[in-house]
Order: sequence, then structure tokens, then C-alpha cells
Amino acid sequence: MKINKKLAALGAAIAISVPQLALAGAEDRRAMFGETHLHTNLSFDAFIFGNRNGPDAAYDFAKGKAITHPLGFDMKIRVPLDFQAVTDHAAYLGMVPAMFDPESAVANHPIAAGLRNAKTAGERRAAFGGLLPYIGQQVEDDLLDMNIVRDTWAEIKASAERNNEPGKFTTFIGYEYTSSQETFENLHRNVIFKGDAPKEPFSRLVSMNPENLWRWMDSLREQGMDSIAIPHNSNGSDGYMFSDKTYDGAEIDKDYAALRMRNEPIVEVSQVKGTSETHPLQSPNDEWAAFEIMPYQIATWNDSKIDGSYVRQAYRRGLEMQAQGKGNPYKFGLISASDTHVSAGAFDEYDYWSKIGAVDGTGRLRGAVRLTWSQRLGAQIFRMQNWWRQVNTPVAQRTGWPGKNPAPGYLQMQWSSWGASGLAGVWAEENTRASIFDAMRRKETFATSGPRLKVRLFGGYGFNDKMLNDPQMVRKAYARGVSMGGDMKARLGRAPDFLLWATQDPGSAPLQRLQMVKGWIDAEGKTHEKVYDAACAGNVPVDATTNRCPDNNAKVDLKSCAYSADTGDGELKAHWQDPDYKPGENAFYYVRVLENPTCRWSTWDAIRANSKPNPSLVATIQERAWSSPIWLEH
Amino acid sequence: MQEGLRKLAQDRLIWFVILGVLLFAADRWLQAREQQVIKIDLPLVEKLVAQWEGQTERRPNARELDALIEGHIREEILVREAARLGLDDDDIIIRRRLAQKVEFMMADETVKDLPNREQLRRFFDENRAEYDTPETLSWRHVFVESEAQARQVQAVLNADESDWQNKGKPFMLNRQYARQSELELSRLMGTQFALALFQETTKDWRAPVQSAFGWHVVKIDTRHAAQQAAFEPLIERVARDYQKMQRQQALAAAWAELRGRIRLNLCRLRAPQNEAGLAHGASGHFARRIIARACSGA
Repeated sequence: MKINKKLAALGAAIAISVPQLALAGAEDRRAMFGETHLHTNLSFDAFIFGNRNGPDAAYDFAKGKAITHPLGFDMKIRVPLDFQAVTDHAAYLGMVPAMFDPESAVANHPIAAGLRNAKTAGERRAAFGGLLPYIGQQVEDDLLDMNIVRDTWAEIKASAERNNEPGKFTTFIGYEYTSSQETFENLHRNVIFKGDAPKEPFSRLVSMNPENLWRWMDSLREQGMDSIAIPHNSNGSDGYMFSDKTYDGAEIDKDYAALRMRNEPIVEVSQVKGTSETHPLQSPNDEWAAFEIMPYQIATWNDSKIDGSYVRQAYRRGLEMQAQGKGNPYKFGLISASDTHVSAGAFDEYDYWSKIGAVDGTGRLRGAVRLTWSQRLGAQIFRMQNWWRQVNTPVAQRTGWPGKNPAPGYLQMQWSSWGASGLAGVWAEENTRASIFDAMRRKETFATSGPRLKVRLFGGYGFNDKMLNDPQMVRKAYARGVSMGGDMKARLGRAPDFLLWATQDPGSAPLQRLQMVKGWIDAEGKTHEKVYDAACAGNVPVDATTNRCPDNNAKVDLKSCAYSADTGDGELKAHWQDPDYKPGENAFYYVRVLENPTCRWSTWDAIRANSKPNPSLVATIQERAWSSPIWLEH
Repeated sequence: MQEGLRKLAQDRLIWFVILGVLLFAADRWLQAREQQVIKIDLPLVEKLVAQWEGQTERRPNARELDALIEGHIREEILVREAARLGLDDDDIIIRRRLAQKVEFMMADETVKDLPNREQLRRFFDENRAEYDTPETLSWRHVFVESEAQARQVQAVLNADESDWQNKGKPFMLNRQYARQSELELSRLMGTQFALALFQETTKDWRAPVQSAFGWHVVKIDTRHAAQQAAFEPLIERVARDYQKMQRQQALAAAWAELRGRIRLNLCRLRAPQNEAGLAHGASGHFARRIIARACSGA
């Protein structure tokens, strides 16, 4: 009797403390949008670019308040976010602001002069460039003051705690691990903590090898501190992000794959500095592959090698490695983020401020608006200065120079190839750290190029067309199959079934087509990929031979940016069965959904400045979202 | 003897020697005056040790302590030399740092006393709008294929709604929402849908209502009138806001005071002020040069 009472009391306590968990099943998960990659004035580069907004301001922005851009205008998000992590660079965390401190040795460092005198955009760029070799070559011991780093880190943690409102708005403690190979090959990742975080972040100054970062995360996890690392800008990694070798050039093995997957379940596929889904040269049969391609290594004009730099190829490479008994280190889900350096993400094409403050804060600086004659002259002088600087720099450390400017009336800068993007979508039970973090860990996530597109994907057996209109579809789909990010085991040599589903952003254009992207490995161990349209706007059937929707004639008026209102759907759904399935072939499947075309930021910039748009920049964009894949295993 | 002294006084050599001694003494005295002292006392050593401990999380050993003190001496000497050369005069880092310190001081000095209940009450009354909640709706809906189906489902539901969860098509978002403001609703479903619901008066299922996604049959369960906030439950939040306001006001006042002491002498700028502006990239060089010329002439 006594025990029963105790049990009853315990039951009541559980029911009171976690009522939502008790009620919420997988079918109650809802899509939430957030930002997982954001720099405040505490990042060395952001401060140089003129950002004076700290972490609190960044959270204010995410919750819907306007904050100020370095050039003085207001930045306000269209719809507040559900969650956000502030991820400042761990290396030199808080150091540049500290260079303003005459008591610190840092102020006397040779690079300080360039930094403190930087005023114009050109000078800021030069100052930033001056700092890079120091970071790259590890001569920074005389620059680094760990007291400042620790204090700054404590402030970042405190700000996250202050601004966390479980159930309403979730904050994560996080930072960016800004590693590379020898020079500029981007191996950056953001580390996001599930709850509390250690006293000090693990930065590139401790080790440039990401494997050591993962081991550090492993050891924290053993102490009860869970975290994940999210790589980004593989497009600028010169082929190293998704290489077939380890950081040191060794063969990848099962231990490496397990270590990586334990710590890096998701990847940031799209952000302001371009989209890394795939490259037209790798996916020649994908008509939509040429999307927001950013061809340079980060902070340079040097070309980034395509092989090893894009997500879809990484998925294929993962299948190959698995077939070779090395494990699959590239079985990751997808999100997007902005990587803003002004504490506020630019997600909308029509309200775009790029991301590096005073350096790219106007249409002219981004190459979207025509220059006056004096500005053109200035640009030429800048080009010559850059050329001279490069000539006087050792070859390995050169940041390169731009090729011939295809539109000489406009500036041509690295950020001319950037764009408004992107958001992280998660399917989580509630808006709390635990719930959202768990969603990221199980890869039930999706990525958008900016708009709040929502995507679902289920894979399994025994799905049918009727389910699409069954009010209990989601519950049944979870019961019979797996959701995005999951693995499914092939059964009896039968082609797997999928349910694909996407809805538009009520504040953006309607949907044009819903697609399935498949990659697989054949009996010879060779991989392939194919894009299938699965549903078309206006209830038009997909052509069964080409696997394409007919053109829906969606148009954009480049004078006003008005777009067709009479074509496109609010939601697209499909029950899709793989027509090319062969028993025994492992595969991955992910959804891509495309909006009707709308004006790209460069067109908006030109219209507002009454300028002719830059003919070398793409005028329109088909905003999109990508689901995490489902892997079919045999 | 006197004779001897007079003779001596007449001897130029002796005056030369005396003058030499005086000059030498004066030089030594001046040198001594220039000789500076760096004081190494216990509080300083404790400070150095504390900084060291912060970095290494252990106490320095004797050799490390020596190095710390030596480092401090070296830094101090160099800083003094820099000051002697006037390097601190126009150093932007130092200027900004000093400005920053004053700003911190101004912000720090302002909020000393905790507000009392009465002040908070008054502040709350003056800023009611901040705390009131707007009108919100708790509503349910069924997502359907077409306008016609919407009407059909509406009729069914108005007769018997017990099975409403199993009607219509699956919907990407929730079927049921609690306490949504018009702004929240429009972000979720589109402005047209939000407007329709907030103008709705019937308590029955209503159709058709169109959203960005398609057609809906909608029922508003509860219309929560805009609500005036009560003071007591919000007192902590009010206190936070009050202190924030106080700090901002005090900062503004302190700033106005400082600013009032300064008279500005504005140069006329002859350079055109276009969007290019000072921050404008490569062309900034030109803009600055033009402005500098205009100013120096004024």
C-alpha cells in the first residue's frame, strides 16, 4: 500500500513535470525554423567589418526586434525564429575588441595598426587580409590572450541562458571551429551544445585537425556534455571537406567514419556564401544544379576544387566507402544557416544586406549596381593594389586576384557570388533545447535557401496513394516507415515507397515542383545519381519518360519583380515508388522542392538604385528546400 | 692667505674648474631628476600572479614569477617611452578604449537604487501597451481539397463534429492552435486567412476559407479579448524593464551633459553626398580626399 502510494506520487510528479512528453508522439512533431551560424562583434572578422552588435542584440533580432547594420540602417526579420545559436569564431574570440585595450600586449602587435586605422570598405578588407596569414600560420601565440577568450566565452554562455525561453524561443551555446588545411581550404564547423558547455572552446589554435575536435567532443560527452559539429561551406574547401582521405591524408576506415558520424550528424548545405548541394559539372543531368554556386576558397579569389566539395557527391562517396568496408562517414542530414557577421541573418532576397557589414552592405559594393566613373577608377586602383600585394606575397599564401570582370561597369567581388540564405528546419516535439537538439541528432532536419518552406519525407513499404489524403497520414507513415534522416532496410527485393510533401512559405512564391534526388551504387561499385520530378504544380502529371514536369510558365517581371500569381501550388504531395530500383543496390533519397522563380537580391538592388542590373549576375532565383536523405540499406 | 685667495680668484683656471664642477653637478642633478622609479610591490605581484593563474590555473614557480615581473618592468618602460614620444596622442585604439571606458562608467554609475513598488506601478501604468496582450484566437480547422468539399465538410461538421480530426486531408502544420494573434496567424497561414478569421463572428464551423496552402473549414473555439495586463504577476519583468529604462535615460542624460559642453565647428563639405559615401569601397579614397580639401580650406 505504501509502495503504491509512492508510485502514484511519482507518476503524478512525472505527469506534472513532463506533460508534453507524455502526450507528444512522433506525429506531433512540428517544423521549426532557426539559425545555427551567426557571428557577433565578438568574432575577430565581424568586428573589423564594423559590427558592434553583441549576442544579446543577435537574440533580439531573432525574436523580431530591429537592430542596426554597421552602415546605419535597420535590420528586421520578416518572421521571428524559433531557435538560434550564436557561433563566434573560437580562435581570437573577443580578441579584436581587446586590441582596443592599450594595456594588452595585443595592441602593440604589428597587425594592430592596420586594424585600428581601417575605415573604408577597402581598408577593412585589407585589414582582414592582413590578419589571415597570422591565423593561417600560427604565429598567433604573441597575439592570443586566453583570459580575454575565456571572459568572452563566459559572456556568450550567459547571453544564451538569458535569452532562452523554453517553449517559445530556444537558444544554443555554440561557437565556430575555423579550421583549414595549409592555407584557405575551408574546414569550418559550428559546434552546438545540447545544454551546458565547457569552460573554454576547442579552437584551431589547439588543433587544426577536425578529428581532434571530435575526440574532444567525445570526451565531453562522457562527462555528460553533448554536442554536435556542423560543417559548412564545403564549396570553399578545395575538395577537403568530403575528401576520400583523412585530414592527414590517411585512408578512411570504420573508426574514422564512426567518430565523424557520432559528432557530425548534419551539414550546413546552404548559406550566404553559396549553396553546396551539387555542382553542374558533377550533376550534368540536373537542370537545377547551377544554384548559388560560390567557386572560391574562403576569403580568397583562388578556385576551390569541385571534387570533394559538394554534398551530393559526398553521399555517393559514402556509399562507395561503405561498400569497400570503410564505413560511411558521409551519412549526414541537412540544414542551412546564414553565417551572418552582422548579428542578423539576411534570408530574403528583397531585404538583403549580405553578411560582412561595411564591406558588402550596399548594392554597389556587391556588384549589383552600376558604378560612377570615379568609383570605376577607384575600383581599378584597388585591383592594382591587390595585384601588387599578391605579387609580393609568397605563392602559398596568395589570396589571388579576380579574373576578367565580365561586366566592367560593376564591382566584381567575392560577395557578388553570394546570396540570401538560409534557414535550418527541424521536426521537433517542442521548442526546447533537448527536443530540437535530438531532432538534429536523428537528422530529422531540412534546409531552405531562405523562405520558410516546409518539407516532409517518409520511406517504407506499404504506402499507397490513398494515404496522401488520409488525415492520419503522418501517424501511419511514422508507424510503417522512417522519416527523413533515417535508414531503411530493403525488404524482399521490393522497390521502396516514399511519401514526399512540401508546403510554401505564405510570405513567398508558390511551389513549382517537388523532386526526389536519388543516388545509388551498382554491383560494380560505381555510383550514379538521378533527379525525378515527383509532383507538379497545377495537378499536372509528370512525364514518365523524362521524369519532368512540363513548364508551368511562371514568370517574373524584372522591372517590378512581380511574379505570376496564377500558377504554382501552396502544397505539393506525392506517393513515389523508385522506378529504377534494383535489388541489392544501396541508395540515398532526398527531397528537393522548388518555388516559382522570383527576383534575386541583385535585381532588387538594381531596381531600388535605379540602375541597370548587372548582366553577369543571375536575375532570378528559384528558392528551394532540401530534406535530409533516407538511406536504403541491404 | 688673503693674498693667496685673491690670486687664486684671479686665476682663470680655477674658475674653469669651478664652472666645470657646477656643470657636472647640474648635469647629474638633471639626470637624477629624469631617473624614474618603477615600484614593484606586493599588490602588483599579486595582480600578476592572479593573471597567471587565470591563464594556467596554477601558481607560478620562482622562475616564472621572475619572468612575470621582468615582463612587467619591460612593458612599463616601453609604455613610458611611448608616452614620452607622444605615441599615445593620436592613437585610435587608445582613444576608443578611453571613450569606451567612460561609456561603461556612465552606464555603471547610473543604476544604484532598486526601484520601489510605487515607482514600478507608475512605470507599469505608463507603459501598459507593452504588457497588454492583443486579441487572440483559439481555433481548429480541417484542410480540404476544394471549395466545394469545404462546404460539404462544413455541413457535416456542423451536424456532428466529434470526428473532426479524421476529416479532410492531412495538413503540414497543426490542426489546432491556441491563442494566436493576428500577426502570428498571418505569418503561419497568410494575411488573407488571418483577416478572414479575425473578422469572423460565427461560432459554427465556417467554410470556405482560403489560405496560402488551399481550402479550409474553420472553427473558432474561443476568442480571447485583448487583455489588460495585471501588475502583480508581471512585477519582475516590470522591474527589469524599469531598470533598463533607467539606465538608458541616465546614459542619455550623462551624454547630453557631456555633449552640451562642446561646441562643434562644422566644416562645409563641398563633395557631393551620394550613396557612395565614405564607406564606399575603393571610391572612398576619392571622397575622403575631396572632403579633406574642403575642410582644410574652411
